[in-house]
Amino acid sequence: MRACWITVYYELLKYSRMRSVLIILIGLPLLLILLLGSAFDREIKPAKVALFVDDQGEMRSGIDTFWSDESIAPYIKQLPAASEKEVQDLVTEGIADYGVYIPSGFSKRLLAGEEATWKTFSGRYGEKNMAADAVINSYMTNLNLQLAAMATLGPDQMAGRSQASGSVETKTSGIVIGNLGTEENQLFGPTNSMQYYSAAYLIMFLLFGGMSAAIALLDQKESGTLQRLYGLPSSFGANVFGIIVGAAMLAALQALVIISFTTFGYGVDWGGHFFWIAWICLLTTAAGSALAIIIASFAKTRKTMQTLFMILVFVMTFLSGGMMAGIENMIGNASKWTINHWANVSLRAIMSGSDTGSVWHEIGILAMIALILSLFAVLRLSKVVKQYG
Amino acid sequence: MNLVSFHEVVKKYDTSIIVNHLTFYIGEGEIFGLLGPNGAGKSTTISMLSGLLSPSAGDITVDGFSIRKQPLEVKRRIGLVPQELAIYETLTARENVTFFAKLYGLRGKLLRDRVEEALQFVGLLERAKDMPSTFSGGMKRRLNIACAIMHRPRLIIMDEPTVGIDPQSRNHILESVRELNRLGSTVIYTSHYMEEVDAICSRIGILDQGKLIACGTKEELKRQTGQEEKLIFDIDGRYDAALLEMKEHPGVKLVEERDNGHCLEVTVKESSSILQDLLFITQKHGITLRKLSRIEPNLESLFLQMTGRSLRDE
Repeated sequence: MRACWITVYYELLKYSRMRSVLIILIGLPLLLILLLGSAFDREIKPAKVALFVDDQGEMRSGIDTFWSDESIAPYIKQLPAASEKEVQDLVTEGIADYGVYIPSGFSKRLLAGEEATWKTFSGRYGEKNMAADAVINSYMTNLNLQLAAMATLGPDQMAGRSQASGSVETKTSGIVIGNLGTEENQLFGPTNSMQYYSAAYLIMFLLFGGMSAAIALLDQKESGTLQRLYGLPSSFGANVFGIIVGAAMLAALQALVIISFTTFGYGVDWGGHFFWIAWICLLTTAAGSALAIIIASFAKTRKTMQTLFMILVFVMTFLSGGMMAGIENMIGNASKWTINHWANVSLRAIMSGSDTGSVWHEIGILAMIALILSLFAVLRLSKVVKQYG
Repeated sequence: MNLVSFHEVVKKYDTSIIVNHLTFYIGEGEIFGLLGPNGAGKSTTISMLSGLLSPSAGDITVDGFSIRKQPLEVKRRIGLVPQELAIYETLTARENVTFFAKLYGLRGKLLRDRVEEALQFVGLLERAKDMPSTFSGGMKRRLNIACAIMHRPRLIIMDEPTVGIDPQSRNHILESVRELNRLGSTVIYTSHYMEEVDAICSRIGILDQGKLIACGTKEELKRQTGQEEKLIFDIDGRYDAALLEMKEHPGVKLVEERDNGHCLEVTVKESSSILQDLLFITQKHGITLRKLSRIEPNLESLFLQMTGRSLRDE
């Protein structure tokens, strides 16, 4: 184990001194995401709003009707919470873009003519805060109008008005949220273009990062250092594993930089479930490394391996829609035969705040692909690392 | 005491036999030269000894440990200097040596001391912080050696360690080999340069087509092959009668004229016993002797005689 970590440390030290590798693996994806994402980014996606309604009073049914109304769906996606604290936590962790807590005495205070408020929590994205604020203000404005009318008409009208409030409150057509996009924007599904391309290029470059392991092994075989490692009393398997782990850690660093930069630099919302995202990155890197090792075991030279692998990754990225959104609609199921498809779909599902259960299905398939490729790579590894037959 | 023993070692690839029933030993404290043309099985033999390849049959022991049964024990006792420059271009000289030292299990102060010692030994301590990409070919070769000796191995295997370097670096390396030997390491040295093997090796093994065709000290090899010496007489004056008399001497095998009769090349079995006779003949026939030189059989000629091939022509 010590030999493995020593090798990992020195592999990372070597990578840190290869400026061209760092530029290609980290600088290039950030540039591509910015260029493609900016070119297509013309719509605002719904804000994920964490909601807890503590109020059980007479206004409750009206509040429920408002939040479940389809007319606010283009602007707000509801994330149910179980307490005020959970609302706050979901916003703090970045899982929700905005939080709303409706206190228990809201109906009572309102009907008693006292000041009654909802507690809101703004998130990190300005445009999402604005969208959520606009929808909530619209509801509140309508509610105030009704209460004013009720005070004028008298308490007898209370029940009727209360009943009607649901329909009045949800008339949010007056709220204008800029969806300036044309039909092509729908190609990005529940994500915006920046999210779409961030996910696609993260996956593509993680696959390229996976190739680093095979390149390092072939380079070391060619230079004779691998032979030297084989002649050491430490475990050769641990050394080889260390070289592969070193490349995987570079890919992890790459993922971290891309996600951080796109989040804080370009305002990309990754959906907040970073544990899952880490898993997707790990599985993608494993699949990429395994695929590169398999190709290296058949290719006679490093150049052949690199060429074949790069063609394969570009084809997979293209088929999965990473270069042209919506290509999946034209080529049918072909994209499902790529690693990129399952990784992209998983990431986009997390970004759009989909139900966690459905994301596991995609991650499960990705894990199966990574496992099968890894097993095959282990069987072929000796062809890559052994100097002699 | 033998440090290394080869016992009936065979290496086969499919139907071709690369190493064919190799049996020999290397004593502790020797500098053993392994000679052979390309394809003779030299690299395969070294690869089997250093644990990179498994023998198809037979066994090799180092310090009593079998390469088949206790490969890690064998590897602990070996420092391998491969023919390739097996160093990392993006690590400094010190980092290169430290990396391999750590994998040999060294740590702490011992690690630091041994790394310094190895760099000092190969004359690279002042360049310890520099990348090998800034080094000359000779300096890289020296770093290649430092990466193999920092754990003070009992057996150092050097596979063509002076390929493609300047004479100064070559001398430095040859002197290092002698010094390592003086410090107690046994050395196995392969080279295409006969004069290097001739200069530093105490015993020599000659491999050809997977077989050990000769093994011993240079003198033993000479005896084995019955190699002859040559006496070169640079002369002035008529030599016909002297030439005839020399040819009739029982110790002389051949006399040839060279340089339009200004030089006689006399091939003899052993020069010391008949030199006086030959000098007497020249004096008797009034020949002025300007210069006399003796050519001993060298490894090149030994190799040529044994294999029918020149080592560097392969």
